[in-house]
Amino acid sequence: MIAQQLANSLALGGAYALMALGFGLIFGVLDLIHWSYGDVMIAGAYVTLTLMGSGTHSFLLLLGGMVVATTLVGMVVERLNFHALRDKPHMVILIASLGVAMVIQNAILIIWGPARRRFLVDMPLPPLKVLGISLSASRVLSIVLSVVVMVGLDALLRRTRLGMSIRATILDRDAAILMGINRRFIMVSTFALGSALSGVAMLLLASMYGVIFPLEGNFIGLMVFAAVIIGGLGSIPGAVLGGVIIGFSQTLSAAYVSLTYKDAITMTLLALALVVKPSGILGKPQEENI
Amino acid sequence: MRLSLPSSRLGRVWLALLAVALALPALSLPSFVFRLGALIFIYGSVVSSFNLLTGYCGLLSVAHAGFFGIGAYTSGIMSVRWHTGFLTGMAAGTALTGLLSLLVGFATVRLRGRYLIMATLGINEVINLVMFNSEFTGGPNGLPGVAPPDLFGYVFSSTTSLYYLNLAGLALVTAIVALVVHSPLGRAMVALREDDLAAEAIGIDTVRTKLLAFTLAGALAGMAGVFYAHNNLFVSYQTFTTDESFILLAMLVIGGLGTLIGPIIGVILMVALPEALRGAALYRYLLYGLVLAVVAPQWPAGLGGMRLWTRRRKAVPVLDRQGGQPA
Repeated sequence: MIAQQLANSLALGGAYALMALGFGLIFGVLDLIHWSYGDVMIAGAYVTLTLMGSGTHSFLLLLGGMVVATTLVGMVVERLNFHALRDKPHMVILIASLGVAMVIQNAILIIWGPARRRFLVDMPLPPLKVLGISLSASRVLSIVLSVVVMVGLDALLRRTRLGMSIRATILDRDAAILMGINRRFIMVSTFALGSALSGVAMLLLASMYGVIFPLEGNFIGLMVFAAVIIGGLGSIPGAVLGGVIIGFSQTLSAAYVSLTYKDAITMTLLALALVVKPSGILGKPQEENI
Repeated sequence: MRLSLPSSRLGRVWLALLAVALALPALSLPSFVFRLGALIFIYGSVVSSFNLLTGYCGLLSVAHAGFFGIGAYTSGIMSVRWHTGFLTGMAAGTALTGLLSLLVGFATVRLRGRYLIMATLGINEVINLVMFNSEFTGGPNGLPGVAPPDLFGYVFSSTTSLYYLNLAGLALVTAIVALVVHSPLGRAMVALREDDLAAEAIGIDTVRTKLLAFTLAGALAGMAGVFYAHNNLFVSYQTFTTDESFILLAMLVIGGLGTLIGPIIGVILMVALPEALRGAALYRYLLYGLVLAVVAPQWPAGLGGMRLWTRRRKAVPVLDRQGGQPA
């Protein structure tokens, strides 16, 4: 029983870790919170579903569709919310970003209605049964794919020119610009990368839950914020750790404490993390930010 | 205390507004106008209390709908279960919300900008989840059967009497906020907002100021919640979600952060406008979102920051100040 719950936690944690990574990269480069991150994801899911029509689709096709859709929606948000307001004080961008999240949520409600939509995925893997743990195909895929994507992302960030530029910008933006890194190019490509990661994660979540609904983005966004804060804002390994912690917190508190209060428990965890160590588990304390 | 009211232009604006509000029932307008008026007064009180925390003290919290709700639920539950009166409910609702808000302030005293938003976001979610899931609060069905307000034996049941009662509530809250803002505490709050290091350097106890801002803003929001519960006769968790906190923020920003008149203008605009566009109820939240996303960045002073309302030359809007808190 406990092994089963731990495996479920890991599957959910993998998807959250991907989202936290994407969010963390965007945060690191922009030094701004992308409030509509979760809403961009769910908007991507609706766009994909609409373009492909209802019915069951193959996983790979959906994966391609989701990545493209979330990236496109993400780019629009980058352009309107972050690029257009780049000279404004941070507080203004922050408030505008809250507004963008509300606009996306309600645009989805208006266009697609409030009802849940079935999200059927044709799994390329069979369900797994080992050592008394039975994992559905979507959970197996979530664990496998999130590990694969993380390894790929690690290689990208360590070995390619783009990845090194992104890391340099996260480390010290001004110095990176002085070293000849094109700031605008890094912003756009990081945003695209972060949105694409959220597209992968969204597909994993949707195939695990089997449905999507308009306000899901709001909820997922909160969980991602919690993951990033708990792990450490601005730290890449911290984002992965935070995502996995949220996966565990959500699954275990639903299984052993109370299904109705699982979100409250996660939010309390977030508030506790902020009170005890605002820089997160793996983040560096930043005096000016706390 | 320097509130040289009637002589200043500001004072004349206030008196004119009050006179219009008082005289409105003399016109034979349809009763929904007065129900809407009462709602505007209640939200005016909430946003004014929010303004104390965010506009004057510069602490951007998004748990304010939660505080509003704690006040509403406290008095509502007391009224439904123990049949307590309006004043008892008001005392309990105000005190409890102030206390909880103090605790929130205490827990988040080290946090600023985006960290404070994250923390208060989580707090509002927790408050809302408790309202939604608890048996005690009536859960998802809400809490019906709250008694109408009563004062010294008089029951405010007619639309007009509720209109006047809530107007008095708004006048009380606005007066308290004005008193605080013009007191040494208010100046300490503004100093904290502008530059907390400098404030500390000139001897302002920043922790104490923050805690007082949280307590006062929370208590006043709770009081507005009590007015809301007894005006609406029904309390539902849906009125106090995190999204509602964002809407309160939209009202405050469009009205003008850090101005006394701003919250009232913002609320009139943001409550009345969607009501006017009643057929398009679906677009209400879209409109709020657009206000935050599009209008606020272009017009950070808000309507309340216009010269019409102030004697001094155009003030630098709170949102455009670079110093102080990184977001």
